[in-house]
Amino acid sequence: MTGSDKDTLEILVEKARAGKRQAFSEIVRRLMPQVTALTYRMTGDRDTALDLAQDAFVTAWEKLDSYRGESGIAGWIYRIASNKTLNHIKLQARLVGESAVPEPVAPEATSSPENLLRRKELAERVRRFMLDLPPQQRAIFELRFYKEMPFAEIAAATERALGTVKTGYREAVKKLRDLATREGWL
Amino acid sequence: MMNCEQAREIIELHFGGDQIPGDLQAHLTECESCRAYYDEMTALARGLGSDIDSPFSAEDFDRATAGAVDRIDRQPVIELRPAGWLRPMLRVAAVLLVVGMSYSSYRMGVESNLGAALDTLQTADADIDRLTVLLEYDTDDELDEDMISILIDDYCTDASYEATTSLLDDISEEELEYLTENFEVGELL
Repeated sequence: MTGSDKDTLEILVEKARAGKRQAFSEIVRRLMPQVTALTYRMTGDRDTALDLAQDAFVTAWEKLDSYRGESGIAGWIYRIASNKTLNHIKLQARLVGESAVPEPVAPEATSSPENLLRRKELAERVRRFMLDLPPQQRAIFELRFYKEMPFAEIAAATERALGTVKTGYREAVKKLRDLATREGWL
Repeated sequence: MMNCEQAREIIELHFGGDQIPGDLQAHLTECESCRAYYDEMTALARGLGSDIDSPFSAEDFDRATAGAVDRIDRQPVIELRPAGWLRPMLRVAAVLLVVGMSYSSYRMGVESNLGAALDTLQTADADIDRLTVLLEYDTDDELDEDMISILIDDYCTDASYEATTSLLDDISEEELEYLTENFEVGELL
């Protein structure tokens, strides 16, 4: 996100706080891809990811008066989405009795160029890697690696100690490296 | 002077990031092994794909956006109050909840863990963001829907999610089943 994009988002937030729903709709439009990417990497399910992304924006609208502006509206909404997704995973585990990991969708193979196929296969393996992580570690990795959030902000979002967050991230990174070594990516 | 263990720790913590601290840079210029590790991890991070590298189409995003906007538009217009009202309101609600619970419990003859609730409220008074209430009841008696509704509404208006997470940790299977059958739990969470 460029500096001017961020400034414009914050201006939209101020308009939304003043009750202009159209301003918030524009925030939704701009951030929907990133938020959906987060919920998808954490759940592995397309429909669930889209539903949770919608839920996150609705909640963000409802709680807009509690937004302090410290992390930027995007970071704030990522936190909401991450927590909603974690609660969803937890609830699903309680209802179905185990953490259900969706079966991977086979990447299209036939007519893709070799490097595009390789990239899709790699993306699918990384997706499986993410889903094999414990939910909290998954959230930490998502927020740090993909959303580039500072550790302190992740600690606040996941309500864990800073040291725990850092340790969680390192453990996820080391697991990823081990996977990459076994798969021959390195 | 940084050692290799410290260097690898920093490399892992900065995985996916652009900049590394100066003292790590200095170590990498002197240590081939750590340099190789750093190069390996940098290549790995580069290969993981972008943030929005996902299977969704523009139409998927448009539909999801329209869905979110529609749900927001259907909500009643609520004036955004200054932030200062929330904590006093939650404290009042918490006190009413305890009073209501004890009265309802007396009337209904349902056992409630009033002592634990009061202990928790004392803690909540010092740190209202971490308010949790242990709700115990006799499952053979009819649940008080108003009390359940107040409890859920209280916690879901709080910006902290630990309250709702703790609620999930503490309620029984029967309570969870009741909530999912009678409330739109997904939205509440």
